[in-house]
Amino acid sequence: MTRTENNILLFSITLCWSASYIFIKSLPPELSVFAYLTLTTGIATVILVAVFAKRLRRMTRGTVKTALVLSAFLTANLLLEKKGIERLPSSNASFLAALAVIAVPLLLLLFKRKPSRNNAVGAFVIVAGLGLTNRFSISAFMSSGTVFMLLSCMCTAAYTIAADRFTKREDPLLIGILQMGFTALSSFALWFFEDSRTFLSVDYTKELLSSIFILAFFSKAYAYIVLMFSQKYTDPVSVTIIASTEPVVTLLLAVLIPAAFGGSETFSIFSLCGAMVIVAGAVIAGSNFLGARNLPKEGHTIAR
Amino acid sequence: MRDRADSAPGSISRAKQFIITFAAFFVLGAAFKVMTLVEGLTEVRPVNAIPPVAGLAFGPVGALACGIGNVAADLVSGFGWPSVLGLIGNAAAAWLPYKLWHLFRNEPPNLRKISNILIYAAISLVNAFTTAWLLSFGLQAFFGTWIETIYTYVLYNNLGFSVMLGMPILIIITSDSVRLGLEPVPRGPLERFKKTRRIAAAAYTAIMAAICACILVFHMSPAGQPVLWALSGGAAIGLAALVV
Repeated sequence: MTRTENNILLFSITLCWSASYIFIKSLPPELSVFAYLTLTTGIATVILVAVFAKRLRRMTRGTVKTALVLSAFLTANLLLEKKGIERLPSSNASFLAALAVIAVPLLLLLFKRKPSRNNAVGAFVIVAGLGLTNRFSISAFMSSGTVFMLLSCMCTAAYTIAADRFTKREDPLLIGILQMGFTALSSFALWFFEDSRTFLSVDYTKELLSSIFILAFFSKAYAYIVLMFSQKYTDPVSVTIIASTEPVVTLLLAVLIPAAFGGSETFSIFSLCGAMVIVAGAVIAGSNFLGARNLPKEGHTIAR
Repeated sequence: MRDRADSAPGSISRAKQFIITFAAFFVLGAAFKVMTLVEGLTEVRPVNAIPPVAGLAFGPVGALACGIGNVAADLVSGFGWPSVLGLIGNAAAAWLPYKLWHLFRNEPPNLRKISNILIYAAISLVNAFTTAWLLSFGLQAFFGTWIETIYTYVLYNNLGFSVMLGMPILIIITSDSVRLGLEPVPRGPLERFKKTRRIAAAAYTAIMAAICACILVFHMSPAGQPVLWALSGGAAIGLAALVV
């Protein structure tokens, strides 16, 4: 796997997550977050088990443990994010969620792993770009929602770092499948506490099923398996940097996708400038002109 | 016929190759039927990422599975005679990349080098031209219907999804962790004439680009423009030289 190949993989995940808003928008508002997660991660687990059934024979106690840890981070992130979004305007919440690009290098310092100068400068430029794109209100940060969102952001960072460690010593495919299964179970439990009728409470229309299936396939099954897979070959900072280009991809999709499918062709000059700053930040972070750290050249295999 | 496509590690039987491609094509194709762009004819189709990858990985079996998978997905929303064009278009969308890759590269399909990524992108473009031309001109020739947006949507669907989704899928199946056994280099009496066929490929691409410009830039319709049929005749000969 070369660095270019790995970046293409990571970018495709960003694309899937950015495009998922089209389908999320088409979900009925009465469908709870836990119902959405149970259905999407449940279907994703079924797909992955069907495709990689043979691989499951290689499962060890270690793989189960690592998948459980990752799933716990994901669930905690979900719960905290839900609480945060309830208490904050969406632009503030989305800005705080994107701070993972800073949180990952900070957490890595605990493991005595210093980011390169380019990584550090690039991350701050990206945050500035995110600030421009989201145009948050400073006074709205004075709420408990900020604490929840920051904790959720730390969970995302911890998840990225843990996945980075685990995928290098365990089978990334197996971790991905098991993690998806555990997330489905935990979200089902939360759904049950919220509404004991669970599956019976949903009105299954053709559009709902289609959107749920598409989200399960792309934003869960595909994205998480590819994420685990590419984390085996890269470092956590690169993962968050590529993920932070999501607003740029969303902006492009809004222009390209017909309005009938959830696209909107209107965007402000702020979002356009913000997107350009984010791209500049990603380029700075991905290159090596400020430091002496040697990156593998294009086309060279970075890991096996 | 050999049951195993290749003796390389990760090789799978032709039956499995067919089932995997067919199932992926059918499920994805049917799921996106709700995102209709032109009623009864086309929709937003991420499934178009599959043909080039299936063709590069499984060759003729992949092409057959894509064609039949498309017909099966069409059965969900209602089968019509235009579905036969879909069968041909999607089979060609898998077969052409397989032939073109081995015409220009002397190595199994992979995206490890920038040059290979560029070749894949170029193949995706030629493939998108071809599918859009086959479907839109086929509708005009056999059903007397010309819809310019069909050409546009098929072109964008094929090019966009082949690059954005097809590339990562190809990277995964050719990675060290998966190492799927790929279909070997095509063999046949015409495979020897690589130089001539490369020229044919260049000429074919130029004709296809001209057709695309006529439709997208000048909004010409084949109904009143013999030049488009003349170009199409040239394209048909070029395509035959490439895929036979």
